[in-house]
Amino acid sequence: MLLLLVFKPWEQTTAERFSQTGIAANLPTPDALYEGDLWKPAAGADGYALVLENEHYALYVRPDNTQIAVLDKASGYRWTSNPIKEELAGETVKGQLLANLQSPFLLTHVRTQGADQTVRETLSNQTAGMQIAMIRKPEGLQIEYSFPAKQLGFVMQYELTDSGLKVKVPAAGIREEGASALFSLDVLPYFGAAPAKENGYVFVPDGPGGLIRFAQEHASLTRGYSHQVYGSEVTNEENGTRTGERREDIAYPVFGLKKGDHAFLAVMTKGEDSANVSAMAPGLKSSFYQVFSSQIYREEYLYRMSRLAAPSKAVQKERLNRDREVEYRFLNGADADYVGMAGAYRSYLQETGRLTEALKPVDHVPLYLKIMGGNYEKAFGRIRYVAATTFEQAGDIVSTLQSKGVASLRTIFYGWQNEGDYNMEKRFPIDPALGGEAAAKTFISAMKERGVPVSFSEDFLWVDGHSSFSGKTDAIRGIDGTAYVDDGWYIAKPAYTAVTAADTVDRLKKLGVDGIHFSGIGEMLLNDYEPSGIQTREYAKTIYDGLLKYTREALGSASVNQGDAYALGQTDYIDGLPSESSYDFMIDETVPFYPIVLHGFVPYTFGDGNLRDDEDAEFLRAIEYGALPSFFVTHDDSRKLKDTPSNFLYSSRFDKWERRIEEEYAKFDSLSQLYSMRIIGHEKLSGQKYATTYEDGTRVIVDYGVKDFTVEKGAGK
Amino acid sequence: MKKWFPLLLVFMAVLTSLPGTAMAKPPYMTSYYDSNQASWFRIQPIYRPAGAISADFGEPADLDIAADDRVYIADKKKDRIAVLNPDGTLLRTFGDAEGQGQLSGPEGVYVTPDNEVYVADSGNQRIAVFDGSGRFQREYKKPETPLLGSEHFVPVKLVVDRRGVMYIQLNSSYQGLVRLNPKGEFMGYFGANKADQSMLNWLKKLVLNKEQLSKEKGALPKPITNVAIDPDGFVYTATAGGEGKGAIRKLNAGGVDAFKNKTLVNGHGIVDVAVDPEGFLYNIDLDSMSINLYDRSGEAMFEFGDIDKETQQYGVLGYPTGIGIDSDHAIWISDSGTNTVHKYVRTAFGSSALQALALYADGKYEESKPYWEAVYARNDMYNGTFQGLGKVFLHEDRNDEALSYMKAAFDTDGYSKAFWQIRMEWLQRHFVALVGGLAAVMLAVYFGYRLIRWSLRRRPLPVSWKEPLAYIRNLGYVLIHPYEGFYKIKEARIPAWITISLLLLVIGIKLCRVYLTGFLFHPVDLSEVNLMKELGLFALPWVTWIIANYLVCSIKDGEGRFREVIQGSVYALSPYVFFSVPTILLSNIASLDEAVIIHALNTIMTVWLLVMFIVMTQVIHNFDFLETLKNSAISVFAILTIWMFGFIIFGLSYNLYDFFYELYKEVNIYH
Repeated sequence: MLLLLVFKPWEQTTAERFSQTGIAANLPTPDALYEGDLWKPAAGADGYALVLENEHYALYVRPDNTQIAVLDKASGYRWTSNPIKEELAGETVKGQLLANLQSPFLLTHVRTQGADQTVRETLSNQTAGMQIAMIRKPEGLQIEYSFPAKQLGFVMQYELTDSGLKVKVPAAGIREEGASALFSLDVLPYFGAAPAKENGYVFVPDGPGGLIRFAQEHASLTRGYSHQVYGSEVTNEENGTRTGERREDIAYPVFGLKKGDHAFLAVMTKGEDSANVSAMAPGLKSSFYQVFSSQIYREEYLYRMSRLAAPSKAVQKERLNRDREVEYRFLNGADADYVGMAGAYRSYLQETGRLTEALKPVDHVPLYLKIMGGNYEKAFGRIRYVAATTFEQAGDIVSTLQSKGVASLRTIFYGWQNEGDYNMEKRFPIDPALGGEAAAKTFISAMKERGVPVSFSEDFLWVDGHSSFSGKTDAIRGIDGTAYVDDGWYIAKPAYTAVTAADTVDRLKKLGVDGIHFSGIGEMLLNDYEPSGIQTREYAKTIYDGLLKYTREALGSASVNQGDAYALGQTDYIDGLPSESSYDFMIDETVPFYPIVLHGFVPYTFGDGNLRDDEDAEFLRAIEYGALPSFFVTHDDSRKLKDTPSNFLYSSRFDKWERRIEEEYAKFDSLSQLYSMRIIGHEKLSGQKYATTYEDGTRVIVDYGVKDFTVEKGAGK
Repeated sequence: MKKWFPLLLVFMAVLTSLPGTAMAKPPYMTSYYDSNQASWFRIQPIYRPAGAISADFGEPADLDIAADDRVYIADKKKDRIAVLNPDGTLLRTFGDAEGQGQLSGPEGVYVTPDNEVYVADSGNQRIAVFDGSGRFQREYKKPETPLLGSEHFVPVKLVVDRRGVMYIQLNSSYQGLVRLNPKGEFMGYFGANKADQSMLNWLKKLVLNKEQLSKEKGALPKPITNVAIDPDGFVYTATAGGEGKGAIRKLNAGGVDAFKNKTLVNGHGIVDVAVDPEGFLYNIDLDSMSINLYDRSGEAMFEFGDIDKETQQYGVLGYPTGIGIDSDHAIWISDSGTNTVHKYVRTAFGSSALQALALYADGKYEESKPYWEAVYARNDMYNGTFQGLGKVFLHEDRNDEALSYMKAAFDTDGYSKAFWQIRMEWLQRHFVALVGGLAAVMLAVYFGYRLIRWSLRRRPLPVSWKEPLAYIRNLGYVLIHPYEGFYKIKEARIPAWITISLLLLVIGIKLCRVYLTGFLFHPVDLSEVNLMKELGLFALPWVTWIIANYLVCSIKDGEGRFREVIQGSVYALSPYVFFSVPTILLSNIASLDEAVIIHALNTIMTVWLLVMFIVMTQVIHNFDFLETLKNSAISVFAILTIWMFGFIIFGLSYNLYDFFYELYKEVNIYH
């Protein structure tokens, strides 16, 4: 008996659960270095030597300083890794900054011995003593850089593809043999850099898409745009010097630049989650606009000797040993704008299998109806669950909406867990105040009859200290190697998340639930700094991918918040897709880049109709960007929830919003024929008028001035 | 759902950042202040950023908005005034051309209703006046007066009233605003802050002699940081660094502060203040790092915005220097951190809420109703709505609704008014029944009492009950006859169960006071009462009194044994029992108009309790009166000593506990 208790044979190990559910860590095979004889080309008249060419492009390199150029044969336009001599003539910066302008990379390193190990120093192709070794292969060019003085070295590889250029920095090529450690590497920092007077813009992945126009004057910029893809490390936020910057995390790993009739879109295809997208305006580093990927290899963090002593800064020891790869796709003429860039990214996603089938046409667009069951509050010295919508009432809400003409509905039920968000690990039995499992079952089967799918929402990442969760074994660790805990909340390791989520999926399957809406998984990605070695974001991505896949197979659907690009392909719906800018000084215009990529493939909604800050503008924004309607309702007054963690529901009582839901649904539904179509055009017509064009030629024109929209039917279909 | 969790921190004045950044929207949080609960709660944005205007500023040091909504900015570094159109485009700059009108490091600007521009030309030590198109008109230099003495005339901020009188703040002058008439003659100082009367200064005065005092740095008043004027001629001064005391003062022509040196919420690091057409006040505060809105009496209403010296976002300020409100209620803030002017505009929700609050402040409750309803439609958690609609209902004679709304908003004044009405109607309708009922109750009590006595006479209680009953009845007796009452129990061995039951009775009464006192006299959410804390705070003084009293009096030759001290202290609580019952009953039927009765009852009870404890000490220990007073005082001192020791021991042992706990966690959880 005792043995049974010790070994707990009824509990399965993570490995067993993984093999049952098909969740696995499928880490990609590392990139290999080229081997062979050194290539010592002779430069042509312009200083460049041809490396290789394909049908569309030709790649050149300058043997003296390894700057590269790509000739676009279709347009005859030549993209260069650095400003050319004539462009540099007017440059005002001097010294190190001027040297940087001429380098195809900037390597930042720190010392691993001696006094101050957080001081950063930069190496470029102008650094004295640098040695180059080039190898040419049919597939590309490899340049090995070594800095004997610092005993540092790394390798860059250039390959041509059908749509452009691929730049690689293989992990295998990094050499740290002395007292210096690689901190970050800017890859092609001045590729396509443009002086202020040119016509064009830089595209950055801010919110749904942000443009930095060359012609625009920018308010006092002291730092450029530089943000990590999928957000910075939550476990390292204490190290921030800022007082708490609130912004949208980057959800998709791309950036671009348009210069006259030519443009490129760069997709960060490997190691993107450990890279910053950096954009600089003239006056910051040079007199050029530039946009590039800055690869992160190490981070600075706060190290505490003891809990009482002030923390000191340190740089992480172990390198993020990941292959890095950026793919530049070139665009010309009419395609050389943000719509064309979105098209290029969509093609990339289709080629790699992340966007597969287009959505099937529908007669009516679905309304995403989120229902808050309730949550817990502390009252009379104990935990009390406050029910705002029982399953029975939820059923009534759906039938009311159907009888009022909402023809297609999908519901997501929140707050169903035992005691709501208190003790996150105790989910079952479903809270009795809502009617318990029996009522849940009745509700779900009633919805099945009505043709309304029911998803349950849950967060499997954040776990509170009230649960039996073990921080020691199951929590994500920060760079200092300790379990990360914020106000008593841990973040579960991906494997733990996957196992508990899979168990929950199995339980909910018995109730007939049609899907899980995951919060956390599509919006937060972390490295886990285990003392035995870093479990990278790449690892988390593959585990989450497996979990989403398992959920879809078991229940039918899985969906996420925010829709970070790694979740594409395994999510049936995205809630809260970025729709607004982060109010950066530097960003002049917000454009629907990500919606253009996704429309017709993944349904998405923005903020809930009843929780908007600006009712009309946000509704029109949803119409303009092709989003679907969503509302977050309760049966009772949301005031009941004011002392619970769900007190963000300022106003959600269903009968308050019933008419607005009907009206708004009717407006969204008037666009139902566009549901499955791609967006092929978007433009600003005048001050407050915007037009979105779909593949059959239909134009939706939104006028923020008169607060209305019109539809011009297309000729096709 | 961690991302929801931080929303729990609504009670914190300083709202920290979310760990996740899932909710984008403006790059700052907005909260409202509930003065009835004295805390901040989160709310949707009332203002949103509408851009940061960069008109090639060098260092925007101050800003003022003219009647035609043009924005005037004093640019300290570029030595000029920049004028922006209402849409934010640059109209003109002036003051940098050579000549009489050339400015040098201007730090303040004020535009009169007739579009005359007064500039605090700090570098040239003068006030320069320009017309609306930027032509130099005249200047005012340091006035000829012995009163200003050797002080340098370095004006930094100024306003001008309707008569053309200038109120000028000189650089770090603590003497108040210098008043100059239109001829440039000195008219005296105006509105100096009060010197800081801190505890330390008071102590110094007490301890130090004259010579030492003269060496001490004098407690000088804080210099005024910034100044504003409203259409009625009230001058508002902003003063930072006084812990919010007098942070905004509203001065009439005589220099009297209508806010009475009120302590301002979120005003510790105030930079500037502005007034809108409704009389609401706006400030920027470096301490709470926010923009704050106050009603006409300086009561906080809303807080939003953020300050971050490395900001690169619209709406997040770098180093704010001046604030202005235009006629559309847009907020303009000059920011020398980013060299821009930030503009914020009201959201639809913010418009409704502030419109409703303005009408409410005017007493136009009926007119405010649609606005309150618009607010309620978007937020049913905002307590202001309940207060506002409660007032509306009160005016519509819908008193029951008013009552429940006022209760939801914890507004005791409004609740009291509604309650008064309801009670009056009830009395009018049920007066006869009430009198009849009261008479019936009195009769029932009278006859019931007689009936019990009669039945007791017929069938007397067992003899064994007699003694315990006497002890219990003594609780009432001791109230009126304390000396005799305490003599009765002195040296008596009262059975423990009686003492304990009497104690339980007292605790029961305490519970009743917590849970059954009328809302008006205990306006809290009963579910949030921390019962253990309440009882602990109730019992602690009593328990320490027993210990202290016993210890002190046994040294001072008191006769009382420990048991007697306990017994006596239980009986001494008798006023608490007998006064609480009517107090609790009354608190449920009294409005605030009759609050005096309740307060009087409570005061009498407190005094009575004191008397009881003193008499008890005298009787139990057999002291004379003076001895009693002396020993009681020593007991009180002993109580304080015990608490201090307790506090120190608790603090130390908590540190020790914390050390081991952290060690345990370190070993077990983190690594």
